[in-house]
Amino acid sequence: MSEAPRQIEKDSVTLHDNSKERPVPYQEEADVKIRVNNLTKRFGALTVLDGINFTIKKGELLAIVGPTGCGKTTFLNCLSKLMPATEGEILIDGEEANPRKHNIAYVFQEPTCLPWRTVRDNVAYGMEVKGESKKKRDERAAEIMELVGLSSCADLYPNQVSASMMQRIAVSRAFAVNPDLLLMDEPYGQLDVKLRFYLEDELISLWQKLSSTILFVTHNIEEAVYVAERVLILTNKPTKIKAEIKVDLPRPRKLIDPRFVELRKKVTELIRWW
Amino acid sequence: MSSSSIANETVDYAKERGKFTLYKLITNIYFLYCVSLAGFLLLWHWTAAEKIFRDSLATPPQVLDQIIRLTTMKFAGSNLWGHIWASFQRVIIGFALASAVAVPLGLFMALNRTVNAVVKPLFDLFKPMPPIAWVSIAILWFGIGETSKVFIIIIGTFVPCLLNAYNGVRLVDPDLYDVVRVLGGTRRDEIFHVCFPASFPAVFAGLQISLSAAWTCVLAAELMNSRDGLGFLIKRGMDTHNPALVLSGMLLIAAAAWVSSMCVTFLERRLCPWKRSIDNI
Amino acid sequence: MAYQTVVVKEPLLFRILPYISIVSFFLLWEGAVQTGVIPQTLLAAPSQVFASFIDKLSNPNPDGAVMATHFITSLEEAFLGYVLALLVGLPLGLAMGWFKVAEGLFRPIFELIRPIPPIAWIPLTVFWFGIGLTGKVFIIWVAGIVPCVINAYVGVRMTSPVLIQMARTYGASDWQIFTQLCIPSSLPMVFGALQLALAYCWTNLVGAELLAADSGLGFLITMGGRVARPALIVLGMICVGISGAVIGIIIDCIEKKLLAGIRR
Repeated sequence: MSEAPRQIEKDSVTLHDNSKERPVPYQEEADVKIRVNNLTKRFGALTVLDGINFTIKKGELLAIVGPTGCGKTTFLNCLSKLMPATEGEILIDGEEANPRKHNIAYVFQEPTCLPWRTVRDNVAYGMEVKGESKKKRDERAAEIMELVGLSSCADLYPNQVSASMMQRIAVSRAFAVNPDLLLMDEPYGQLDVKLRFYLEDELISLWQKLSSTILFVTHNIEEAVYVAERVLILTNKPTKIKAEIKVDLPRPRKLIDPRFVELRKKVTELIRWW
Repeated sequence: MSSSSIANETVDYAKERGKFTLYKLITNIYFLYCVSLAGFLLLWHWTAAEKIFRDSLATPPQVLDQIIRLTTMKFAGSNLWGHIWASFQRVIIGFALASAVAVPLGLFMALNRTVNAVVKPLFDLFKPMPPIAWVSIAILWFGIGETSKVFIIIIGTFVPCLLNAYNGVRLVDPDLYDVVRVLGGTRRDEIFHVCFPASFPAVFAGLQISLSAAWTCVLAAELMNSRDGLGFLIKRGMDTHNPALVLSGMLLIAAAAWVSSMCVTFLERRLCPWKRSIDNI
Repeated sequence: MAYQTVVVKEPLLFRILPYISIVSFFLLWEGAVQTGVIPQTLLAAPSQVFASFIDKLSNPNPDGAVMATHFITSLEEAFLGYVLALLVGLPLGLAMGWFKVAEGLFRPIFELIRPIPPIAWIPLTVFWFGIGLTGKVFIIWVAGIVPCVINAYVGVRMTSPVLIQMARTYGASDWQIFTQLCIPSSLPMVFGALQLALAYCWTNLVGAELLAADSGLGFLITMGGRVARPALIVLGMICVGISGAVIGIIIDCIEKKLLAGIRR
């Protein structure tokens, strides 16, 4: 007599079958904000990105982890349209992504504050480029600075504040434009551990308050699992998406929670087996 | 992204691939260079031909013709090559003498505090005086021969060389000295293994500046009084109201300065292969 | 927040040595001329130079003008040429650094003019403008333009590529990046250009006046040579030197004030 197949504990890991890669059907998810179809980038004979497909829902925080040198920066550059993709398309709200039209914000690894502007003017810079009115800029900048806690040093220059403040200024500037897509390239990679935890919490609180769509690239697995709702894992070059892990732990997440640790282990395993 | 180029090259929306080739041609930089040069020459020719400056400007073909004639005929005792050599000789002698003294002195000043305290104030006293201001007194002292001309060239070359050598040593990254000290190096090692090589780029920059100053000085000296050289040609052109000759002299001296500058650059590339440069300048 | 400056005092010897050096230099000079080691026909002692200075304050002989007139003429020419060079050179250099079209159109002409020593233009300006203000202002203008364009160009090309990328992601246009990023970024180089251009302008002012003038400090020097009065020559040289230094200090102060908020 055959037993009923044991119910295997619901595995929250979905492995992508790369041989049957096809774009996700359009009707499936109506609240998809960003859709990336078959993103490919080649530099001559070298294929860096090979047919990447994924979607991001509106207001979702997606983390991307991968081994070093898998083209994470190239990936972000293609997404933000700093580099043209060899093949494939990036759709925001169903239209081809365009920095002039859509609000894309990119927080770089290095601090990118304009040294000749005060903190307040730096936070307002993104909006200034987009052409917002001065009144709106000042209001929104004040609002964001209040949320982040930069109001006390609003009139200082970047060379008078610490490096962590500079990253917070960059993050505030990114949130201030109300981005359709906020890209972050290991923004807290160069900061010490205690600061990193603090800034991660800050990022989460900002995200919850302002409901922006965030794509967070990191090589720190703990950070990825702590911050994200979903984690995408990339392979080595030519880069594809290896797996996707849903992280539906309640916030605030505890680093010692057994489920957290288990998810972290899963991600590590997936990265280890290149 | 290389750090010596501006990142606008990387921005290229996928849409813009299908631009008209005509637009691409018009904004291609080499095309613009050609347009610019052609336009300049045409404007020059037109201005001269229309006698806008009443006979005081020669057309490019006239200038070219003058230069060619100079190579064959003798002008006040020597042909073109003779004049070029006369100027060049003065520049080389003055430049060599001055830099041979100025560069070591500058390096020494930056390394030794006593010498610095004694020499620097005197140098600062003489620094703001333009070399051309020395022309009159040089003539008073040395007469109108070669010596006075070489003297002015020496004065003109001395200041930038010394200044750049001095600053070159002062701006060496202090961490490099620490590397040598940690490895047990003596002061002598510090100086010869770190200080001198690290200050080479600055020294060469100083040499470049001094070289162009030297050509300016030789021109000034020859304009005052001389019997040969490129400055003499220009002066002759001025005295006989021959703008073609004046322009030839100007272009020749510019070419000579440019060629000698290229030689120094070549030397620099051989001796300082590690130097980064901002492209195009 | 308090910035504490640490003051390092140099040993007494090194603080006195410069003064000793300068004073002994002047004493040597005075002594050499007064005792006849250097004949008075070749060089004038500092005391004699000073006496000439006092004399020239009111005496228009032998060169036709009092000290004040010479100063005013020179300063006038230099100021006009310098300001015009800044007004033309700096925007041109900035535009050339960013806009390929500007670079394509102006670069060849600039590279052609650049190696020509400014005083080589003297005969042409004498033909065109005569021995007046315009000719000399032209030469000073040509002299000052070169460092302005070069420094502005390099300043713009040194703009941090990351900042430009950041602006591009926000959708900034070329013009926006130029005005909001490139220009503020190039300010240190531009201020360097102010000093350099001043030095070039001042040097060539003297050159222009040496050869074709009827008043001004360079003319004073030439006249001193012609009438064989070394005191006048040295007086002229010292005045040129001091004026150049003073103007340089003034520009330095202005620069420090303007860049105070952008301490780098």
